[in-house]
Order: sequence, then C-alpha cells, then structure tokens
Amino acid sequence: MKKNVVLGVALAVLVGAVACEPAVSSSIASNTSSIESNSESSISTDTFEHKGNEGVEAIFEEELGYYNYSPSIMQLDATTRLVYYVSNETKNVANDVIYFRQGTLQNDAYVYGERQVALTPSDDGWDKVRVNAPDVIKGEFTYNSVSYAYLMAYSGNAIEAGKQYQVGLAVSLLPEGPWIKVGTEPIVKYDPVVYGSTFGAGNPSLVSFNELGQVRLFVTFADEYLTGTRVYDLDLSNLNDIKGLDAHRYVSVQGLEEKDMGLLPMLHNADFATSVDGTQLFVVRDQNPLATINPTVATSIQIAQADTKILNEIEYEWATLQTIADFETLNPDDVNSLGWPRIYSGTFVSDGYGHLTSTTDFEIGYSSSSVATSPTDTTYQFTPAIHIYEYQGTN
Amino acid sequence: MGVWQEINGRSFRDVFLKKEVTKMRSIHKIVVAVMVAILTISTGKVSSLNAIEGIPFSGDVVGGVNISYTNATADTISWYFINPTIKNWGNAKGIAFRMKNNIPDGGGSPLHFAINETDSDRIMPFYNNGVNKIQFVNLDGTFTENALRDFDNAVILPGGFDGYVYLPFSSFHFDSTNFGNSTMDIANIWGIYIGTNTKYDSFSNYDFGDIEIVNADDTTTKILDLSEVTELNLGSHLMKDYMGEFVNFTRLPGAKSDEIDFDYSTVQLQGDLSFGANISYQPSEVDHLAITKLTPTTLDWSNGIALSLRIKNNTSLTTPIEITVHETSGEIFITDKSLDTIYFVTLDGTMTSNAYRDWDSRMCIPSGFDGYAIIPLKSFLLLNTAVNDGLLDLANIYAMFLGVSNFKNYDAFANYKVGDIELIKQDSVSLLTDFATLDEAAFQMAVSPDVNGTEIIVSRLGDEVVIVPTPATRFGDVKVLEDFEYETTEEIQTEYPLWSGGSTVINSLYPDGGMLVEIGGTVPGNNIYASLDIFPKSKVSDWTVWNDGGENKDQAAQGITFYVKNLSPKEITINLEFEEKTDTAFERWNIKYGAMIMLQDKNGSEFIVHAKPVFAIPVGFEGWVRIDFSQYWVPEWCTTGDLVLDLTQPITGFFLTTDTTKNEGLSYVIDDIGIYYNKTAVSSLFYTPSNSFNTNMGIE
Repeated sequence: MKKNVVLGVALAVLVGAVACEPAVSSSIASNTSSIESNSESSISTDTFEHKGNEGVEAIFEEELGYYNYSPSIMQLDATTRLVYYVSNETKNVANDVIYFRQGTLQNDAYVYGERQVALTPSDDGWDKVRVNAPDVIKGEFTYNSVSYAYLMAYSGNAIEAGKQYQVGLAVSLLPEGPWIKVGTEPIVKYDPVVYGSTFGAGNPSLVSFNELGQVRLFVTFADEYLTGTRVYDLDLSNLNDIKGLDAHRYVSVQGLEEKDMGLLPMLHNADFATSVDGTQLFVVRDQNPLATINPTVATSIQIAQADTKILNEIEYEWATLQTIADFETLNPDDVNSLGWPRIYSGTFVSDGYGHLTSTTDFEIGYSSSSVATSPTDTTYQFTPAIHIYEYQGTN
Repeated sequence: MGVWQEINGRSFRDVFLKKEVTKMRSIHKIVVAVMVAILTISTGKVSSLNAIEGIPFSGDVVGGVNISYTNATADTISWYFINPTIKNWGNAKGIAFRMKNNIPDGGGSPLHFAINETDSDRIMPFYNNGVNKIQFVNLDGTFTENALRDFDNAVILPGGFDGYVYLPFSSFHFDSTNFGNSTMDIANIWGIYIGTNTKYDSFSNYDFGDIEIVNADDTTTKILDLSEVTELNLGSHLMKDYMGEFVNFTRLPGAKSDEIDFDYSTVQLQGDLSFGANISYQPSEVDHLAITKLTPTTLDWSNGIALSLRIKNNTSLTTPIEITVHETSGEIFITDKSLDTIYFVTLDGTMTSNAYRDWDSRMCIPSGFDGYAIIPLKSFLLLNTAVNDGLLDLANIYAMFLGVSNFKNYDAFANYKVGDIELIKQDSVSLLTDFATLDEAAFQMAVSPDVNGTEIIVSRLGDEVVIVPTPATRFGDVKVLEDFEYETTEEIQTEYPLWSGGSTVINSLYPDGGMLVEIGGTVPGNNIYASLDIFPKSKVSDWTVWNDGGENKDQAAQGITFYVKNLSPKEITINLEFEEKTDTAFERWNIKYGAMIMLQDKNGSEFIVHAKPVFAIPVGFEGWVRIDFSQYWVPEWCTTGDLVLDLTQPITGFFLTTDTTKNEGLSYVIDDIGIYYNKTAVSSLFYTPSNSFNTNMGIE
C-alpha cells in the first residue's frame, strides 16, 4: 500500500518555482519535538477557486493553490478509509507536508473530512526541508519499549532541490496519529558522494509479511547511473534493533511495458501490494517516458502482477494488467472531457497490511495534474488532485 | 517466398565466412538470380530421366566410411566435410555419390548436401516446387527419380538403397549464406558438405564411398576414390564440421595401406622443453601475423628429411601456426599440405597426422598437445619469388618462423611452449637447438619476436616445464577456471595481458590472493575501455568446456561466477565478457543493459542488482557474484555469430573490461572466475530457496 512522489527532476519542476520558501503554518511552527501535532488544518479561503476539470473528479476537492499528490490509502473497515497524501500548507506556496483525511462511505460514495496534519519536516536533520510520499501499514512495532500499531514510511530531504531523498519511519498508536519519528536518521540512506547528487532513495512502499513486525519495504533508488526499486525484507518488531537492512534486491522490470515499446522498463514511483496469502505481488507504477512539458511527470500508470518469487528469482516476469491513461480518466459527466493529461503516483487501496482482499477487483488511487499552458505558466503547480480508478480484472 | 528461398541450416567452417560475410551479404542478394542462370546455362539442364541413362557410374564403397550419428537434443543439422582429390570439375553437369543405406526400410534417411567453391560460393539442392529432380541409380543401372523434400530441400535416401545418388547441378541453387562472388565456378571447388538433422534423423546409418562427377559428354570422373585414401590420410578428405561431434565415422575395409616414405613413429626423439620458450600474444586490432623467429644453433640441415619441434599447446584450443623457413639467399618456403603432412608424436609415442588447417597450410597444434611436431622438409614450398633455384637449400638455412594470426577475433588466445629442435635424417637424429645449453644472450638469439614482435610475449622456461594439466577445481556447482594462484605480479601480467588497443589498468598479485586491478586513465587515441584478456590456461585441462556439470558431467553451465572485492569508496563498473567460438565466428557476449546480477557478500547477505549498464561492484562489497547467461547478450558491435549461446562450442576466453573515463583511480580485487551449473535464487529474510547460493556452493 502506498502512494508517492515523483522522481527528482519531476518533483523539482513541480514545486521548484516556490519551493525555496519554506512554508510554515502556525501549527507546524510550534512543532519542535519529534512528536507531531495532529491538529486539523483548515483551508481558509475567501473565494474558493476550483482546479481544472479535464478528467474524472477528485475524491475530495481542495482549492486551486493547494496541490494534493502521492496518496496512500488504507481501508480501515467496510465503510472507512484513510487517505494519507502530500500537500502544501499555504496557498500557492510549495512545501511538502503529509496530511490525511478520513473517508466515510455514504450512499455508495466516500465523503472525506477535513485535512489533518500527519507529519511535517523536522527542525533540523535529514528531513528538515521536505517530508512526502507516505505509506502506512498496520502491525506490531516496538519503539523505545512502547508497542505501536501503525508504521509510516516516508521520504524526506535536507536540501531545497528535490534531490538526495532518504527514507525514514514513524510510528503511531492510531492511524490518525500522532506520529512519532523513529530516531534521527533515515532507515534507507543515500550518500550523494558515492551515488551522485540526484533523486536518491524515496517513494517508500510497505507490505506486511506476517501482519506483525516483518515488513517488505520497497524504495525507489535513483543514482546517477540507474533508477530502480529496491526491496528490503525487514524485521521491524523492535525498531531499536532493525534486522534486514544489510541486504536488498532490485525488483525485476521484466514484463513491464513502457509507452515507447523497446525502451527498457524503469521501475520507480511504485506502490506494491500482495494477495492475502502473499503469493501474488502487485505493482502500480509510473510509466515512462515522463512528459516533457510541465509538469514533467508520468502521463499514465501501469498495474502489473507477478509471483512473489519475482523478488528473489530472476527468471520470473511481471504480467501487465492495466494501463491507466487519459482515456481511463474521462469525466463521465462531461462530454467534453479529454481525461487527465498527467497521471502519476498510483497507490493500491489495500487493507491495513498492504494486502488486496480481492486480486481481481480493486481500487487504485492516483494523482492528476493540469498542464502548463506556456513555458512561463506556473499555475499547474497547484492543480494536482487525487482520484480513484476501479480496476475490474478477470480470473 | 521466392524461388531463391533461404535454406534452413548453418554456415560451415570456412575462413571466408569470417572475412567476407558482411560485405558480401548485400551483393549476394542482387546478383544471385543472375548467377544461377549462368550456372544453369554453363552446366546444362539435367532434369529428365533419359539424361542419366547409360552413364557408366563405377564408384564403390571399398575403403569407404560408414556414417552414423549420435542423437542431439538440439534441433540442428550436423555436418561433415568432404575434401575431394579433384577440385576442377570442368564442365560437369552433375555429381554422384556412392551410398548404401543400412536402414533397410522405412521413410528413408534425409540428407542435406552443399557444394562450396573456393571463394565461398555455395550451392545446395533446391526443391523448386517439385520441379527439380534427383536420381537414385541402382547398381544394375535402373533408377528412380524423386523430388527433394519440400520444406527443407533434403535428399531422402530411400531405405535399403544401394547405388548412386545423382544430383544434377540444375537442381541446385545458391544458398542464403552464400558469401562468394555468386559466380559458381566449378573449376575451383572447395569441397562438399553433407548434413543430417541429428535430433530427428540420428537413426540414419549408411555407407559412403566414391564420388564421381558426370561430364558434359556423359563420361564420369572420380573426384574421390576412398579406396585410394590411406588411413593416415583419411582425415584430410573427411572431416567433421559444424556440430560434427554428433557424426560418427567408421572406416570400411579395403582401403589402400599407408605407404609412408618414412616411419617417424620409430624415431627416437630426445628434445625437451627445458629452458625453452613460452610464447603468447597480445590481441591485435588488425588482421595480421605476429611472427616469432627461431634461429637454430645449427643452420646446416643437410641430409635432413624432417624437423622435429618439441612443442606444447598451453590451451585447450587447436592452435594454428604458419611455419616458414628462410634461406640465406632470401628465398622463403612455407609448408604446403599438398606436399606432405605434419606428424604429431605424443610423449608416449602415439603418432597422428592431418595437422593442417583445412583452408590453408597452417600447422594446427591439437588442443593441449604435448610432444613433437614433425615437419617433413619436403612439405616446404617456395613462397616468394625465386632468387636462387626455388628449392630449399638445406645447407644454407637462415631461420624458421612461427606466425600466428593474433587479431583479437582470431587466434590471439595462442599460448604454447617450444623446446629443442631436432633434425631427422634417414638414420639418425641430431639436435639443431638444445635450449639447455643456451645462455641468456643465446636464448634471445634463438627465440626472438620478429614481425609485429611487440605483440609477442616470449618468456624463458626453467627446467620445471612439465605441468600436467588437471581438471578445474570444483566446489558445489562451481567450476573455477581462473584461481589466480600465482606467485609474482610478473606471472599475473603474463597470464592476463592488457589489451593494447585500449586504455590502462594495472594488474598485479594481491597479497591476500586474487588479482588486483587498478584502473588507470584513458590512453589518447585508444579505446576508452581497458581490457584484461583471460585466455584458457594450460594447467586447467577442461577450461573451455562449459557443459560438463552435474553428476553425469553433462549439465550446461548456468552462468558466470567470480569473487570480487571493491577497494574504493565508489562503485566500480566492470564487464566480464566472454567469447564463444563457433565454426565460423567468434561471438562476444556482454552483460546486457538492465541485467539482474546476484550477489552474496562475505557476511552471507544476498542481493540482486541491476547492471548500470554493466556490473557495478557496490561500495564496500566483498563476496561472490553470479551472472546468469540469460543476462548476457551479444553487443551490437559484434556482427558475427548467431546470437545463440551454444555451450557445446568452446569458450575461448574472458575479457575483463572497464570504462576508464568513469572508473579512473578506482581499484578492486577479483578471484576465482568460473562458471556455475545450477539455477540460483537469492535468499532473503523471508525467503530461503532450495537453490540458494549456499546450497549450490555446498555451504551448510
């Protein structure tokens, strides 16, 4: 289960023009400890400006000037789900803070409450500039002798440019928080001296292995030579003594398909889930190549399935299930709709453990964006919104 | 598909295939139709039954060969090559093979025929919608006329048939792999190939005898009379070719006895390798010979009938060497297989002949051979313009020369030892060079790099030269080909020379074992890649054999393995390439873009990493690497080969390459390069496969 952020270049473009202005709201400014406040942060507007309407409607509407992307969606029960996502605190000022909204099923549709802060950048340290790309699962995670039921993995960085990301963890007793960051160091580090100053390690995705403390952690790892996704088998039962960080595997790209046939697939910005029995692995990931006009993010996402052995045995391949592009995001209520021109950061709507209760019918969350109308147009930066696609496969 | 449909088959061993394939491919398609028309006109049309009535075929199977096959798992055609005595077929209009099918009944035995001209033009029988016919002529003169098999142009030898298989040239067409000038000149025939699919038709069993051509006047001429071919010479006329390991020859009785004018097997040779020379080569970027000059202490060879050269092939590959002798007059003489053969006598006295390469007269040292090469002096033919009498003057010898084609894609792997040279006379043997008596200065006179000598590595041997090759060390499913067990850096640098056309790395002995590789800078004007050449070693008898794994030694290798340690604070990108030698080409295999490479570090943690685009040794990594063959491909620059990795073919070496522009100043240690035989999966905290690194390597 998870969501995520776009790769370095794309992210830099997306937020670049205003990212140098750390946006600090009053609620976050007071947060000087590692315990995040869980205060609700209402968006006050005098005149509500709507975002674009190129495609299917967002699952909740935030005003133009607030971007929403990189969702992670957890189904708590039959009628309740939480959406963790990334947004900016102040209208038209880019900074990455992790929010969540709770959705309640009413009349066959989820109605979402107000956004609430889940995690903010630290005052200092490796994640002092941005936190984004959250993913949350259930389990049993002990940290400083306290047992927590929820674990969040997230990306963060300490420089203004959208580069040199690393991955950290936070824990909570409840899905709503408050979230406590685990230690002061990232769990997956990126050394720009060794690997070059590029995107780094980010966009984590968590899948529980035993519904307790054993977890598969997937991380986009992009250095100057290669962009791919690593998977770590971790025992996080005791977060003061994490096991498994000394080994990883890059996830196979065999069988994945890019928009340009013949291009070697590149797996990044991906969310993973498994069947309940763990034998089948699913991925939803950005397709390449990315757009060349702002925002330079993906224009489609792809869902694929493989035997979970693909993580350890190189002869296994992915089978693609569905590509979600503009056509799949048409607004059924608008005959003039052309669908979303940017579709990226897909996530599975999964149970608390990153499982799909049905491997044939499930939902995908994703981010959309409008497109710059000219090289100088920057309004697209604050248009991203979050949507749901209902995948219906066959046995 | 047009008339000139492509034949489903592989090309044959032919030097021209190496050199001419690229440039002739396009030309061929344009002119082929015209040329076939010429062929038809020049040979006449033989497509009616009456055309062969009364033709006096006379060939028999006396002294012939029984042909049988071993079943192959791969769907491929196994070929043998026939080198006829007569190669000028004048204006012949067809060819007849004396054959007896030992399979008494059934649907017959499918055979594929091909005829090559010296410039690599090749023709093969062609179905042509059933229009083309071939004849099966019984011994009593009666005959039947059949079409070729429709889907593969095979000649179906009827069950129990005993007679002549007559193939009129009008039933042939140019093969798709024709690489000559597409003007079939049957006055300059190279030879005949016969093939059988050894997956489906390995049951075939037939006797094969004389071959005749049918001249324009309906007379016949035997172009090969096997009863006249002695046992010693049979190998010069009948050779296994592509996938020939599935072809079995059994000589039939009645052949002429060997009448050699001198029985070299009885000569008591004394020469040894002590204090002789080890000769190896730097791969060259150009196609030329690197020539070593051997100057015997005694240059008067009067009354000699043959030279004996103590020689040992350090590789498990047949190694071709051009041998010339220079007179003081300036006349140069080269061995010519039409004049005599070269004999090889092993240390236990076993003698063989047929030592020449099939397309020229280079001496071919058998793989791993250790013994004496006997070169009859009458086999030398004037090579240059006569300035004296054009005859080898044994009293005025200047030196002998050993030439090797050290072009990187040909025989740069050559690595051999030479020792004492002896002169064989009718009744005695005398030493021309006794290396043990030579001081260092005399040694350098006796063995000196000559033409392109900078690419020749000569080192003097001690008195401990007898190294008995042993099979590679194995543990678990690993066969170690290179254990880097040397005592000095000089030995390492001799065994693993640096590619002269590339950039710089320095290799040396690492104190803790293995080879240290320090990556230097780019050499202006050279390739930005540096490459260390790792060729088969004499001490490992089965170096080139990569399909001998498992309990029954019949399991093909699964991939490449080695141990590596990164000594630098950066990732180091390297490529461990290898080369497959087919009958017609050297095919290079590189780690492919996006390859998945399996690692196990010294602490037991396991990884799968992607190529970047070659193998990037992780920072701090020390441990085992496994690269499955599925993660290799043939790079675009390698235009020879068939893009199919065939481990039944010999592997001629590794090339340890690195891009110096990206890795300058970095260093690593590599050790225990080898192959592994079992599929391997990577262990992790949540997954313990049955075919893990540890299980496969026999580690508890």
